[in-house]
Amino acid sequence: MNKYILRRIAIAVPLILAIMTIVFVMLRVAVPGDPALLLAGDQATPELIEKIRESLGLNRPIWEQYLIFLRNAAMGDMGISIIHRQPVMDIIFSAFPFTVAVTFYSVTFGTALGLLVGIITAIKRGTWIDNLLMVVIVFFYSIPTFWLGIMLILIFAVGLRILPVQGATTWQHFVLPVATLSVGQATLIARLTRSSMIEILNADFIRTARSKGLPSRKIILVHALKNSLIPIITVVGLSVGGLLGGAVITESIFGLPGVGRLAIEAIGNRDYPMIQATVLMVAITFIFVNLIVDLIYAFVDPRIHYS
Amino acid sequence: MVRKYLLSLGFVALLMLGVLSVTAQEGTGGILVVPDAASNVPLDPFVTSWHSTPHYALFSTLFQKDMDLNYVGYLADTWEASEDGTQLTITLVDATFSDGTPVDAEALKWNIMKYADPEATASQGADLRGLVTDVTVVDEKTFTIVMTASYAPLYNTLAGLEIVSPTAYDTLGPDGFEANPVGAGPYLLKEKNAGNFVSFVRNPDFTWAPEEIYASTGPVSLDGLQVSFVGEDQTILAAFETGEFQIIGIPPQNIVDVESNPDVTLVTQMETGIRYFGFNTSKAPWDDVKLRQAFNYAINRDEFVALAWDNRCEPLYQPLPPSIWGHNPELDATSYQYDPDKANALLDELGYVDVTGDGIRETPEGTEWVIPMAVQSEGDEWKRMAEVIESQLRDVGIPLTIELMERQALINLTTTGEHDLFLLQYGQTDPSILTYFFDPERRGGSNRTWFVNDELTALLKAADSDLNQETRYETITQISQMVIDQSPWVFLCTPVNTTGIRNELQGWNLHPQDGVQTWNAFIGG
Repeated sequence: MNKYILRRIAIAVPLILAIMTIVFVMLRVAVPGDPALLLAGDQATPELIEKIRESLGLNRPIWEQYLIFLRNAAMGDMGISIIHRQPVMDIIFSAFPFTVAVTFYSVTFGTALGLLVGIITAIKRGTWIDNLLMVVIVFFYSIPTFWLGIMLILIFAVGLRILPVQGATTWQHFVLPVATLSVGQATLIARLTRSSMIEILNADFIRTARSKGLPSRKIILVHALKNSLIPIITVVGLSVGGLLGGAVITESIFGLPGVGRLAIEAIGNRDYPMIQATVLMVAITFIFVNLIVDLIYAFVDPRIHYS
Repeated sequence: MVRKYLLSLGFVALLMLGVLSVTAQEGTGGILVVPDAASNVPLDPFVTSWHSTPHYALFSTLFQKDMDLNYVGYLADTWEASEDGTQLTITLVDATFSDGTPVDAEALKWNIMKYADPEATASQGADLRGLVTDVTVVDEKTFTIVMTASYAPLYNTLAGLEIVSPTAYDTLGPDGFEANPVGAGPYLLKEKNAGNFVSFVRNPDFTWAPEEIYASTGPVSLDGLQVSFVGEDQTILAAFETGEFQIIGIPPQNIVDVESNPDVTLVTQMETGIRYFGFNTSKAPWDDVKLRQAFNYAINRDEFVALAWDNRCEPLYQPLPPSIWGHNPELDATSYQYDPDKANALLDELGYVDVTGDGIRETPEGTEWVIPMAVQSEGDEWKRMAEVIESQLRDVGIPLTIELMERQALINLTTTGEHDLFLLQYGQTDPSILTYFFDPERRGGSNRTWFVNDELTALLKAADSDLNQETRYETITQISQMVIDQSPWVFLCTPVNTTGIRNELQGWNLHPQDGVQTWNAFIGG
């Protein structure tokens, strides 16, 4: 197992390097505009723009900029934000806890709710309960995140006045964004759980378990659910990875200072060091989460071995 | 995110901290919270090109404009210009930076020379480079700015230069200063969270508000100020409704809804800026003045403001709006009133005729006419304006292609000289703005039309160096007339912004140019 983990980490290094190289080159070659234009302002002379480029080192050949970037990155220095004048990693680490909190709570609540609904609809397949819940699931699954977020604001913040609209200073500020993201997660997990459970519930070993007289609760929760978990874990892993990279729309709607907003703002400002650092952060997060998911497979399904 | 600038721009224009009205209500306390995503920029005035509420809170300037739009002293107590206008001697008020060091002549020399340093990269004060040769210290409180020539917009420039503590800047360095900025403004920095907000507390030592126009010279009445970097319109409107924000700019499409809220007061004010579209005059066929004029005649501004702005934008027929000194209302009669017949005649004369019979004109060579117009994708208003323009031009057979792109990409495109048409805006309080846009040396920078006209260049230089207001006004009129005649721009309109203020905020005042001002404001019961 340890060898497997080390091998995965070793594979991740060139992968991260490739991602960083692509981002570095794309920013400077394929994306029009640079931070000098923003810093120079709308009324700048060409000379001022050029001077700012020079001061930022943007007038150097790309390969030279890239080597400097690699050297600094190897030493853990991802640079100073061109816009905020602070080390980019400091800014990212100050935003990351908000993103982690929202991710953790929304994935936890969403997955728990999704599992519950998925199990109920699978057990009650074809009944009015199944039909009703499926309509509700499809309805919420179809709702765009931004619309749901705004509706929740209008109902709970503007209408009932029981929760704040925006900000991130109290636990109340996290209720609506977590609810918004949980709904999407729950509908996804519910549909997946339902289809996976239905398939498992028709399997021979379940029939055997029933004929042996095992209680229904044990059959469903121990035998059926456990065997349905592999695809669900995969999706949860992807959700965690995606949300840790920043739930951009949700963060924007609720004014949450998370990684997603930071990344979008950095792209708009052409804040190269910040973009590079957020991409690196997201890449590492995805790779790490994928590794964790793969390891969980082995615990859930004893047939899976890593050597 | 994409519309973050609409509310922000409206707000920034309207929340420049300022005047205390003599008739203002008295009271203190409370923390004013406002949204402004655009304010999420460096606080260091030598770094940022965007100066807004946080900078006005932290730093003071030499001058401000009073209610009659005359310049009055802020850090400047008295001042006198030499006869030829090349020297300006200023005596300072008694003031201290928040690190306890005095605002003295040496400090001002340090600041002005830093802004005027030819090697400086600050956008602010760029006008002083090559103009200011020295700042001489006369005594502890008096200094003289020495220039190579007279400069009419000097007071406007100095009113925009935020003065920092040289001691703090030199000690901390630029990065340290960014984290702990030291100025002589009405507020002190409390906390800055790059992705979230910046907050301030009242500067208890601030007592140097200009007494000519301020009922109280300070400190400010509010306990604190917080600028939240929220940019979503619907979030801002909802937070305003619940009282989380006290002042916001209201998008035109939401004004009717907000008007019905009894907890809110709405004020309107014409922006000191315009919306226009420009041509790259260095590139064929846009180097043909008749073709540019045809576009100008084809635009029905009354219909444009009705469709694109719900009539909350004043039709404009010259480069300066009524809200900027230098606007001459008599010029409107000489400008391009909507005349599709003239537009058609000019296009026919130039050979742009409909060969295929589909109602769309082809090029004089008979090929398909493709006219790309670069339009920024952030903010619905730009797309809406572009669609109305496209429709009006199509009525005279001009096929416009709207190319949506990020604002940064658009600005970059206009510096390359490879662009065709572009839809943009400007905001400024001095007519010298026209120099930024039509000075040939600024091609590849702010001269986005790449327009070159020797006569116009001479007029711009004359206007910028003329200290006589009457003759300067005449020269600016000539400049505006030339811009009308040469038509590098199609002027569209000047927005009339609406600001919402919650009624619990009391004691605010409305400045004729800077909007809602809050030095005397407080959160009441």
